[in-house]
Amino acid sequence: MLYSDLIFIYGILPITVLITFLDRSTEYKNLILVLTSVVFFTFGRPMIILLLFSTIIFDYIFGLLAGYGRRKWLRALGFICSILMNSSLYIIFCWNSLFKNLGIEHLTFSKKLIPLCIAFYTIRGISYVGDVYKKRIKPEKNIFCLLVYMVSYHFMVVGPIVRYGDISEQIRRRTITGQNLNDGLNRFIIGFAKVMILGLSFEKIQAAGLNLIELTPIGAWVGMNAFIGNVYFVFTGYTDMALALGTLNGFRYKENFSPLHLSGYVCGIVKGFNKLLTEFFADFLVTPFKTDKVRYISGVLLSGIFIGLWYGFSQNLLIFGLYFALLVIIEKLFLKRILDKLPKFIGYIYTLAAVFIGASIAYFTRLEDFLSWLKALFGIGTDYMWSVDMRNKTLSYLFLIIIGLLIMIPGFKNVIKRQLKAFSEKGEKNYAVVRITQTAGICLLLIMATASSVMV
Amino acid sequence: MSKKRKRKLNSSQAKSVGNKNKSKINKSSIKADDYDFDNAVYPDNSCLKVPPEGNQTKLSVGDVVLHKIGKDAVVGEYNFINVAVVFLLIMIMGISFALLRNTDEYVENNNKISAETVLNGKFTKKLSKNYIKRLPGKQLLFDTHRIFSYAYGLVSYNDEKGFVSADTGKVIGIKTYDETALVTLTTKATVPTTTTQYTGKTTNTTIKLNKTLFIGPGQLTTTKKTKKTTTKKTTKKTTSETTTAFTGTTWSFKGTTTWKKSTASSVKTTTEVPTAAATEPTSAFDENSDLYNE
Repeated sequence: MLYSDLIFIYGILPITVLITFLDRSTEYKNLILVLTSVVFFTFGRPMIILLLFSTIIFDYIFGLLAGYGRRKWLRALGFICSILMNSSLYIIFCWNSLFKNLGIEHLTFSKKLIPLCIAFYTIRGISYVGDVYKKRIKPEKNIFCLLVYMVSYHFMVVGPIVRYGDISEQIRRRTITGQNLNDGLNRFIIGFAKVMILGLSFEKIQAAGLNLIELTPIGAWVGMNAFIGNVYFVFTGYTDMALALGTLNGFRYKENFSPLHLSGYVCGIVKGFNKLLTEFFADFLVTPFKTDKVRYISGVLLSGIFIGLWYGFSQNLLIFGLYFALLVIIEKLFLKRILDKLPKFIGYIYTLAAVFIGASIAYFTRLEDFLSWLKALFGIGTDYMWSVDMRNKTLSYLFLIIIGLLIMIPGFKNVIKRQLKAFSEKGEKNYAVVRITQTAGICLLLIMATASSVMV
Repeated sequence: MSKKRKRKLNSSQAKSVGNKNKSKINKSSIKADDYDFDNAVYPDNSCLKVPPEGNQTKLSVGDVVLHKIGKDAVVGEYNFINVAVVFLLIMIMGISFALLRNTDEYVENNNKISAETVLNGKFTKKLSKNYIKRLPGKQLLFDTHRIFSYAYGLVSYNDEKGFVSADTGKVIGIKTYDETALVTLTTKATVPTTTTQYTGKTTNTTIKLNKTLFIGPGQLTTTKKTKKTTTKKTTKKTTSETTTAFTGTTWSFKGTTTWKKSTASSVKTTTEVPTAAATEPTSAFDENSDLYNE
C-alpha cells in the first residue's frame, strides 16, 4: 500500500485518526499506530508479518548486545549481526531481480510478495543498532517502544530516515492538539496533490519527451527537466505526506528536503535532497574520517556507491552515486574556491548542468539510449524540433508546469507566505479571508488529486 | 457549578488579573520588544492598538495576555473549521467511493469484488488461494505441512510408499497437495435430528453446518457453511448443537429458531430437520489441484 492509495486516504487514515482520539494515553496511541502499521505493511502480503516481528526481536537482541556487551568485540558483533541481517533482507527483497538473473529460483519472488517498504524498514534496524553501538543512544529495553519505531508506517514509503534517538522520547510521551490536526491534514493533502497532480503531469511530459522512438531536441531538453520535476515532486510529496502523518499522530520528525539553493553548488543539492539518507551514510562512512583526507575521499565514494545502490540495483544508479560523490570531492578539494571567485551565474549554470547530467545518468539504463539522447540534445540525427505528442503534452500541462517551477524556486514560497501574513495582519476580516481561502484551496486540491488518482 | 457561571468567573478573573497587571505595569512596564508581533493575528482587534514593529512604546502585560488569548482563540476557531471541513469532505468522498465501488469488479484471476463476495468470504478465500500460489519454497511448505499432518494423525508413514493419507492410503506428493481437498477430508457426517413441537405459530428454522479444519498452528484453516432455511409452525423454541470430532476435523451443527406471529390452530407435530448431505471421503491431497503448482 502507498500513501496515495485511495483505500488509505479515504479508509485507513480517517478511521485511524478517529480511533486515536478515543483515548489520550500515549500507550493507546502507540497500540493503534502499531496495528495500523501492520495492516499497512502486510496489505496483500500477510506472510510478511512473520518476517517483520522476527527481525524486530533480533534487532532488539542485537541492540542490547551492542549496548551492554562487556567486551568491545561483543558490542561490535551485535552491530555486525544487525548489518548482516538487515542488508540480507534488503538484498533479497529490494534486489530480487539479481537472483532472477543469476538463476537462483528459490530466492526469486513474485512482485506481489515483495514488501514495498522493506528498504526503509531494514535501514531503520541498522541505524538503531548502529546508534547504540556508537553510544549515541541507549539500547531500548522496552521492545514495544522499539516495535513502534520499527513498524511505524509514517516513514515507510520514501522515508525520511528517522533515527531512534530523535523520537524515543516522543514514543513515550506525546500529545495531539488541534494545531497538529490542522497542520497534519493540510500538509498531507498538499503532499498528495504534489504526487498525484504535479508528479503525474511531469511524468507524462517526460514520457513524451524522452520517447526513444521519436527523440527531438526540445523533447530531449524538456523531457529530462520533466524527469527532474517528477522525481522532485514524487519524493517531496511522499515525504510531506509522511511528515504530516507524524504530525497527525503527535510526532515531530526532521525535515528531509531543504530548499534547493544553487549557491551551495552540487554539495548543497546533495545535502538538501533526501538529506536524512545522505546524513545516515555520511554518519557512518564520512564523518569519522574527516581528519584523514584519503579516508575521507574513500568514505565519500563509498557513500555515493551505497546511496546509488540504495535507489535501485542497476549499473546506471551505481554510476549516478559515484558521479555525485566525485563532484562533491572535487568541490571540496578546489572547485568551490574557484567558483566562489567567479560571477555567481557561472556557479548556477555549473550546478544546473551537473544536476541535469546526473538525472540523465539515473534515467537511462542503457548506454546506447543515453548516447542517442545526448545527440538529440544538440539536434544530431533528429528530423523535427519537437514531436506532436510532446507539443500536445506540454501545452496541456503548461499551467501545471509553471506552478511546479514556481514551487521549485526556493524563495517563491517564502515571498507568498510573507505577503499572506502581511495581508492577514491588517485585520480580522483579512485573516478570515486568508484562512477560508486556504480551507477552500485544500479541499479543491484534495478533489483534484483524487480525480487524478482515479483516472490513473 | 454551572458552565456559564464558570465562564463568568473566568472572564472576571481574567479582567481582574489584567487590571492588576495594568497597575503593575504602570510601575514596571515591559517593552514592546518582549512581545512577538510577527505572530500577531489581527492587532487592531478588541480596541487594542498594537504598536508597529520596532516601536519602543510601552505595552501592559494585561494587554499582551488579552491579545494572546484573543489570537489563540481565533486561530483555534479557524483551525477547527479547517479540520472539520476537510474531514467531512474525506468522509463524504470515502463513503461515495465505497458505494460506487460496490460493483462487479474483478481484482485478479476472476476474483470478483463486491459486497456479496466480501461478506460471504469468497473474495478473501480466492485472494488467499492466489497468494498461496505465489509463495516461494513450495517443497519446504509442503514438508512442513506433511510433518504437522503426521503429528496430528492425518497422514501415516509407510516404509514402501512414504507418507500416505490416513483415510485413503494414497501416496501424498507435492503435486497432489491441496488446501481445498483438505476440506473434504471426512466421512459421512451424522448430524442429529431436532424435534420440534407445533402449536400454530410460524417459525423460521435456520440450520448452519460449520466445518472447520485445523491442521496445526499457523496452517491452513478452512470453513465451509451449508445453510438451510425451513418455515415451520411451532410453539417451542428449539436449539440443538452437536459437535462430532473426526480426525483433525470438527463438525458443528447449530439450529436456531425465530418466532413469528401466526393465527393458525395448535397442532402437535414432530418433524425431522434434514441433515446436510455428507460428502464422500476423498483424498486429502487432490490430484487435480494446482494450488501449489503455478
